[in-house]
Amino acid sequence: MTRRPLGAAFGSVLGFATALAAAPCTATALDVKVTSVRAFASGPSDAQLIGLRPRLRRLVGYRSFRVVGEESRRCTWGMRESFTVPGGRVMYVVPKGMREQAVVMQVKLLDGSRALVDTDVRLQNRGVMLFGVDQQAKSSDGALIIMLRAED
Amino acid sequence: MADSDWELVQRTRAGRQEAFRELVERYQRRIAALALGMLRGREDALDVVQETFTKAYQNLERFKGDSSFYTWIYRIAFNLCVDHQRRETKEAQVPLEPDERGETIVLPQPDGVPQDQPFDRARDSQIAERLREAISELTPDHRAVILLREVDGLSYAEISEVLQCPKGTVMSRLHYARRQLQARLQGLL
Amino acid sequence: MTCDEAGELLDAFIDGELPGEQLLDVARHAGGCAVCDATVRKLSAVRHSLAGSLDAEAASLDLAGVWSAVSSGMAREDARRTSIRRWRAAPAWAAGLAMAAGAMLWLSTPPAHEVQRVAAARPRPNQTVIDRLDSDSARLELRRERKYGTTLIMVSAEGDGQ
Repeated sequence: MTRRPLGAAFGSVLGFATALAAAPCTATALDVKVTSVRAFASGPSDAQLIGLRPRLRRLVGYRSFRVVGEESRRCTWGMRESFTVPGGRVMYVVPKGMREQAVVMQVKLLDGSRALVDTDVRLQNRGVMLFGVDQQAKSSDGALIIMLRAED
Repeated sequence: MADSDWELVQRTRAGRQEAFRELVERYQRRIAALALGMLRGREDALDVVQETFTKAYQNLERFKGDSSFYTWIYRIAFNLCVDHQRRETKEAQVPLEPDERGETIVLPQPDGVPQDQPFDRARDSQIAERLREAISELTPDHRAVILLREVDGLSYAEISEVLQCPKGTVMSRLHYARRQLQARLQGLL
Repeated sequence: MTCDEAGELLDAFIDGELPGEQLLDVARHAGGCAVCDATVRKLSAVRHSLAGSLDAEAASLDLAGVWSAVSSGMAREDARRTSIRRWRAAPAWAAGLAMAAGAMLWLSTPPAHEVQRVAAARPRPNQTVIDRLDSDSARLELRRERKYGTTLIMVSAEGDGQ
């Protein structure tokens, strides 16, 4: 007799687990993180960039990287979110949907009213893509790297 | 009187961050000297210093005080230097590819990026240059032994603890490394 | 003591690693032997050159940023430990549920040959596809790293609008 309640309990656990496993991805929002990184010719790099540093070095050419700003936002699909970037710039992100494990979104980097970049991208879920603003002509601070991450 | 390393470790474990700061400030320059000798560049050395202390904090619970704190931290630094070299070599072997639109784009190398030479500021540039070459030709194990002894002043027993090898191995590696450097500096000393 | 015997002990001699009696023996020998004395001097000179070079280089390093980087790493580690502690404190039924869900997922995994086919078609772990790329006036450059597929769009803000 004691087996029945146990069996029922196990059955309901399994049932709930099955429902969890089979549920379609119904996330209505997306976590977007924009990290601004200043690249320098020398000096230490921030510990949080250690994993990415070899790639940054090869892609950007500078040796040292420090985080100068970070914003995380829960973005609703189809809605525009703005992120502040050093140098008075703004990055607009419009998440449009998921396709083949990638997040489809429009990204616009504005310097005043001028669109430095306006792009439609498909970014791997939890992946990172980079935007670089070369400031060599303006200052000796090196480049500004903007890291964009998205996760549903 | 300054607190002992062990006291600072205990205080750090109790949640006192400033105690760990004291340990960082106590040893960062010595770790930097080791990393400068083991690696090619100043930035790489700085990265290793930073990673060493971050990793030490992450693993502080495992430090039982059987050895001294500084031999423990030297061991972390040495392993990070070896990992660093391995990673850099591996990365250098992966070529860049053209972007997906088929264009080959090469970003200009920023002006003023110094080509790092850890020995540049040595009092005698010729000796420094020959030493740099000789050091870079040694294996990481030989390099570590001579740096830990000559630059950091560790005893044979401490070096054997850091590198986890017998004292006899330390002595033979040191003998070999010194003769290599001595041969390279022939006529200059 | 012969030169061969002393030669084997010279490293330990200059390192102060010999016991008292042997130390004196080597010192006496080197004092009367020009060859061993010269070796001791050369080994000491190597030490001074190496230590001098690296100490000067280490002294010139700007270590001011080290603590701030380490302390931010410490804060991340503390946050990680806190979340692990919370997870461990979760009730046992939650762990059971997670295991059941894991088992269901495992059971619903397609056969091995299908997994292999899908895996082979997957892009690199961090690859980004760019469907459209415009700019009002800046000069854009694209770069992709081979190993992970990480993509960089580089903007030259001083672009001439072409």
